[in-house]
Amino acid sequence: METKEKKLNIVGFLCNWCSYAGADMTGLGRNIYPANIKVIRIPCTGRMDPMMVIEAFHKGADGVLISGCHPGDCHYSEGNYYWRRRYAHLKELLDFFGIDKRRFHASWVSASEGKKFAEVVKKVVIETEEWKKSTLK
Amino acid sequence: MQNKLITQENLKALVNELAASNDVFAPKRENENTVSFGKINSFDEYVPGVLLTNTTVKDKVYLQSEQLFQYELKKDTVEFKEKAPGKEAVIFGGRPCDARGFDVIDKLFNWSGYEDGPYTGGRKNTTIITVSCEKPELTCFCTSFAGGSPADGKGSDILLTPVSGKFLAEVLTERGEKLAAKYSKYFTDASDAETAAKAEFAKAAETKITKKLDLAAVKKNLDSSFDSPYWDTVHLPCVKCGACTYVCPTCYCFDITEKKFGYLNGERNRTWDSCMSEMFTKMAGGHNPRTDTKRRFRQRFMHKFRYHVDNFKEELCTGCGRCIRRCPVGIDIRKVVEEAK
Amino acid sequence: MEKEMQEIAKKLLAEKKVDWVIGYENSFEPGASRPVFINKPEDAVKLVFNKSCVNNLSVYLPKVKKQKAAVIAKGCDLRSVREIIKEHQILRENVVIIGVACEGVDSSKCATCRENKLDGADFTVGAVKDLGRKEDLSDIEKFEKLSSSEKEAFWNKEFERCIRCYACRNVCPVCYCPDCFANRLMPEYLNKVVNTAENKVFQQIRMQHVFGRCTDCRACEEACPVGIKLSLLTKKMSKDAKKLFNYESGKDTDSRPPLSTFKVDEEGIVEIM
Repeated sequence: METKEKKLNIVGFLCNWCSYAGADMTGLGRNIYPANIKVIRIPCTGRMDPMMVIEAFHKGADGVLISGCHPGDCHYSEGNYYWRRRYAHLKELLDFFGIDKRRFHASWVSASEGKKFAEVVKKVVIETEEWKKSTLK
Repeated sequence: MQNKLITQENLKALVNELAASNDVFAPKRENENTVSFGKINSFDEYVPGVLLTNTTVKDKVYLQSEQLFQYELKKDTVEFKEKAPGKEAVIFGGRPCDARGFDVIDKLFNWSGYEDGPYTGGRKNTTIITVSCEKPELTCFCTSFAGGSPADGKGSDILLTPVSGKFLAEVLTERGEKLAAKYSKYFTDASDAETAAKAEFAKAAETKITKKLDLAAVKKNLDSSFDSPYWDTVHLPCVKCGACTYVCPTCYCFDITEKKFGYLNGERNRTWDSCMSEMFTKMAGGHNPRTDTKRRFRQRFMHKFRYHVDNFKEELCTGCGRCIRRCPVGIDIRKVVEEAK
Repeated sequence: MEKEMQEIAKKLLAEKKVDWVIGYENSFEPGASRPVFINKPEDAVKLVFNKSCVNNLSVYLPKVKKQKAAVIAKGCDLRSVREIIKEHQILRENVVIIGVACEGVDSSKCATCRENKLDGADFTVGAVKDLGRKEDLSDIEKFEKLSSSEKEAFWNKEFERCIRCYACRNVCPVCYCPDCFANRLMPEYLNKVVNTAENKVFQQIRMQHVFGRCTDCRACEEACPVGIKLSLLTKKMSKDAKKLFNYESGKDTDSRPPLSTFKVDEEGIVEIM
């Protein structure tokens, strides 16, 4: 039986209008980013239920990234404002429960920021890896 | 079998030796106000002074969540893998009301010729050493039930009662005999005087119980009060949580659920379910005949003191009083069934 | 003080101003009390108030619905009442608040009592004294400094003994959702299997749902049959609500809970890439 290398599992929730399109641009622009991220498309970060983040970590995600439109540019006007508040407290709450801050990230990536998305994913992977290494010590 | 005697030091040595080769569960301190049954590695972790632990011993034999089997879809068949039987275990330091609970639910899990595998397997592997109670609490009412007493051995394999500085060890079952024989170096034979001293102890403890339910009257009350407006008001303080059902030595209701690990395999589990939960009577298709909070409340008391009596000729209760102590709003089961009209 | 409370309750019921009076009565042992629902004026003599009156009675208000109820409230309970009114679970005109001056009950929360004032109560029984006690967040700050692995190990140990009785959820005044996520099977957010991981998920989601609405009344911690330290979580959330959104729940009945609103220019609360 072959042993598989345990790769980092990052789950990404990308808002349909900005970040998902932005991630598409990353591919079109041939910007390379780590393949650890598994993308889930949501209509808006305002839809992002914190319960999904908790479930993702419970089901074995090493890291979670939520990405949406820049504040002021939300396709549905206000969704990302609500998300911003949820993220702020959820990060603290999860950290208090023992889910390291380096595992949970959020970003604003617009539809044209293909390069930025690649940088964001790279950063998420690096920080999650850092956390993972610290648990093995 | 001849009653045995064991000294405090020998008891300590016995428990330590048992803990070295078996899983021994005994009252263990979790934090400043919680003592629960947990696995101990030495006698020193055992907390002897607490009469009523936060939870009961039931979950050491009848696990709260138990895997029944795992399944895997192969090309043309389905492969089942049943869980291997558990290790030998000893439950030490429970009370007669805890042990009696097993006696009551034994009849449920071995009924009409059907033997429940996981439960019976757990029972076969577990030896129960119970300690009699010297100072019953205000919430105790074990003497209300036939043969119930702070020093009764029903459901126990070995019953320990403090007499003249040592413990009288009544070996009551085959399992108890096996343990006593294996560790016979710790036991000596008890004399008639010590056996008599135990009877004195039991009598003294029984008189300390302040409340005795008239079960015949209770049954009559419940038989006639199903549609009574009494239930409309008595259920109001209850928050329908389920704490009472989970700390009860005799509550046995369960739910069976499945869990998937991907597309091809998964497991089937059995988990305790509480009649206080709204989900208890929810059916496939969404119909739920008992969503009303009053009905759920009434159901619990009817089941324990009326329906179970009709079916099994005994109450589904051992009088331990845990439901009264652990209820967040102090509902007293004795008061509820006595005043039902 | 008890006499005064009984008189008020008797009058309210006799004049049919309320259908129910929710208070405390003597329980199974001397010195213990428990919640009671009274609907007849002559039963008002059952009402008591002493150090054992720990329960937060506001949990019953969302269930009163179209009827009118009077509720006995200590300073801490009053915060929950305000929060429930704010969230439209009961109309202000359908609840009569009988505030009771409290100097502390048999609970660990009283040493750090944040508020025993009874502003907004319809009746005040007893004289409210300034106890000079303050909130103490030092144990939260100490816990925050632990590493993630240490925190995880701590919570694993706590939730190992959780029996998923849902007492914490059912006594919480702001957990009033008729279809709680824990009861839903399709989709299944929470598996019925009881183990440490699922127990943690339940509490994580529940705490997230009550963030900003929880008044740190400690009803959950008092109700837990196995003594899980939920106060660490409720205190942490209270601290965060203040720090991140400058919000304290239960102070009034018209401000909006923090997650139900937003500011276009949040004062640099969080780093987002």
